[in-house]
Amino acid sequence: MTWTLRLPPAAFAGGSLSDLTPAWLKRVVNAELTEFYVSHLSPLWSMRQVKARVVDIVDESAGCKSFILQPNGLWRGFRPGQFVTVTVEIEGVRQQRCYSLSSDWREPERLRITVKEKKDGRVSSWLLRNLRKQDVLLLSQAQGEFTAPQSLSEPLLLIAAGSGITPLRAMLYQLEEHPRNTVLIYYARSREELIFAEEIRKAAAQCAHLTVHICYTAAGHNQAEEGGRFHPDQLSRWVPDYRDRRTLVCGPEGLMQRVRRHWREEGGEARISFEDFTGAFQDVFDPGLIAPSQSATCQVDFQRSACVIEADGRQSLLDLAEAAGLHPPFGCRMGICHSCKARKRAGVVRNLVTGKASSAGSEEIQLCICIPITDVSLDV
Amino acid sequence: MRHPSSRALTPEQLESFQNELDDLRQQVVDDLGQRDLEHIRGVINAVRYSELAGRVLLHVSFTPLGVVAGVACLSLSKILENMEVGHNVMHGQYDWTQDPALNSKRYEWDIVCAGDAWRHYHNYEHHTFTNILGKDRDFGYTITRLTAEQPWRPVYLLQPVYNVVQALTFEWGVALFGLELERAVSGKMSRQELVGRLKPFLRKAGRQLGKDYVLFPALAGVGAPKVLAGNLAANVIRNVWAYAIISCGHFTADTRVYTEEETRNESRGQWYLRQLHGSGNIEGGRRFYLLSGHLSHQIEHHLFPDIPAHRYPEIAPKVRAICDKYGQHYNTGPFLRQFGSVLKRIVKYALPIKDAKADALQSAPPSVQKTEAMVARRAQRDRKLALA
Repeated sequence: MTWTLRLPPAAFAGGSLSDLTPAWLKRVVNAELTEFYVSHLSPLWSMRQVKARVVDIVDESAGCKSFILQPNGLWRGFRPGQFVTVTVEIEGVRQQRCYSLSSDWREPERLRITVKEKKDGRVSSWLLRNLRKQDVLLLSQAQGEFTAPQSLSEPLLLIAAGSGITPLRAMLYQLEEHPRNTVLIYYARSREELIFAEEIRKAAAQCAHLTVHICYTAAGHNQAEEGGRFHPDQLSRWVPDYRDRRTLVCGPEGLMQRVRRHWREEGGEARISFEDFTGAFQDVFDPGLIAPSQSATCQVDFQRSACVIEADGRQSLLDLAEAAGLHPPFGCRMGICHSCKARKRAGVVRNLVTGKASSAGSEEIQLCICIPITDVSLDV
Repeated sequence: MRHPSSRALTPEQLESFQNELDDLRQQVVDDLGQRDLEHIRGVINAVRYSELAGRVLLHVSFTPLGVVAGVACLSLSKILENMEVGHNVMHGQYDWTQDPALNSKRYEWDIVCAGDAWRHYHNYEHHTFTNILGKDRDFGYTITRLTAEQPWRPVYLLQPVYNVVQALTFEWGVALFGLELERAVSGKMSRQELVGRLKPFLRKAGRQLGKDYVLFPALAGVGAPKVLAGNLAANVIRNVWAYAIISCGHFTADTRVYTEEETRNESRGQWYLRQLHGSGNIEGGRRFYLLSGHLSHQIEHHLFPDIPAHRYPEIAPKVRAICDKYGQHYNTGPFLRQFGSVLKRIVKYALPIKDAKADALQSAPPSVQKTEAMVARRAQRDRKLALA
């Protein structure tokens, strides 16, 4: 039988206990130990980590769900447009991905992340298939600068495609309280894949200053009538004053590239912001994409030492660092002692012992048995 | 590089021996997952709750039985924490989980030896240079003579006595050993380095002493002497147990030692052979394995120091089959026999004994020719070491 004490999470995780603890006590008490006992009393309690319980799951469209999360008292709130890093354990391994919050800022106890099934998206697929009500997730505090400007007199243009609507949905809630002139252009493959369709229609009906254009991009739709993919003509037709607006864009790489190109040609780059998780958080890497001959010209960026050197694809990262005159910790040079472990910020390396390629994201690697096979950034 | 009861291998045989062990390692690595995480979390739960039970019992009970139960719980907690959690997590066995609480570089254990010092001399020095005289300081821990190749000095006559002291105070031995004070005494350590080593030691030792001998006794009020004695007993029980298990790892009769010369140009296969011939296992039951932190499977641990230790009993039959196939001696036996042979060795080499068997070992020809690449690799490694 499992039981949980029904105390408000804030009792242990608000400002209260952790902030009131005197510094000397914090030095004496083992933080890991306290965290262990506190989290075993209730999975939501923590002295230092934001945790959130799944209180509801909403089907949004085919292969897309929203998870309503109740955070513990350490949560410090968010500004519409920001994201959180979600940590889950999949087959014993912790994985982290970023999700924009689509929630209403007036309900700080009900956070919402909206997750769409993606090809090769390991974490998204896991969340959609395995996450149940009452489960507890680890969250970061809200992060990111993808937010609407404070000044309400500044008109907005929001452009979204697919699940890119999530951060913009949070901004639409803002309009209900603080109306401002806003145009939303939203691209979806088809009517069935539209996320928040009903809510957006309702928002448009309620807010006099909000205009919404919904476009379907899949073949079979009437392109002339229903918009089709992003095109500059749409802007001049629907938003003639788009050059004077602050523009926020979130969607797949293709959309962002087209929009970016157009704004660059017009010289309006300073007034546009993009939200993009694909670069920093992709976890899929196909080693077949890297031909052996290409590996001759990788660059290794030792970030902390402010040193970039060229790699020939034969020397280990440890040898490269030492050849560059750096002094990283070293050890056995055969991968057993783990002394030379360091964080890779980005890039793909091959493990000489297993022969396998790493993921492309941030992770710890052993410098002595890894060779770079793409450009690599290291925290060394 | 030959063990007296093992067959000499041709270079081709050695390479396929190495490949079979590499494949075995890869099989386990590919299979790591939820089960391993649940194992270590289960043990951590046991550590935390047995510590809680032990401390509560020691504080509230005034009957001998209650106090003994408290000491038993606290000793169990410390043994599991040091052996199965601390030692194994700090080897990097659970780094793949990406859980910060199981990260090898961050973990700090419940023993006076500071984690960073131990990581260096154990993970790197001992596991890389296992049983190489002059390089593996774990062999005899500098103060015990275990082979005829170590020159005899009169002080060794006392080693049966000070090994008893060492068993009782093992955690202090481990911590002081990491300081390498003998280098400071002989003037080979700069003042700056000495301070650099002493600082983390004093901080950690102060913390451990403060916790077991000041804070918890003080919390017990009038029961302070009882709690202090209980904590001391738990620490000593843990020390004796750790000493017994760990000394079986490399000091049993069948384990052999190596010279720097003969290991200079080792291949990975030869490194595997040295780990195999330099280590010894202890046979027992599942609970015994757990309490030993699976150092009962010292051979498997030395072949694959960074795969989760609870996997060692599963792969041991496969390792043994590979050893049989290549005619390599696999040193194992029940606890009392293995520990008995350690004690025998400690007593035997306290005397200025010359050992014909050891002489034979020493003159055994290396079984594999060195390639130029091996020579260059090892020379480079030595240069790096000298720089350190």
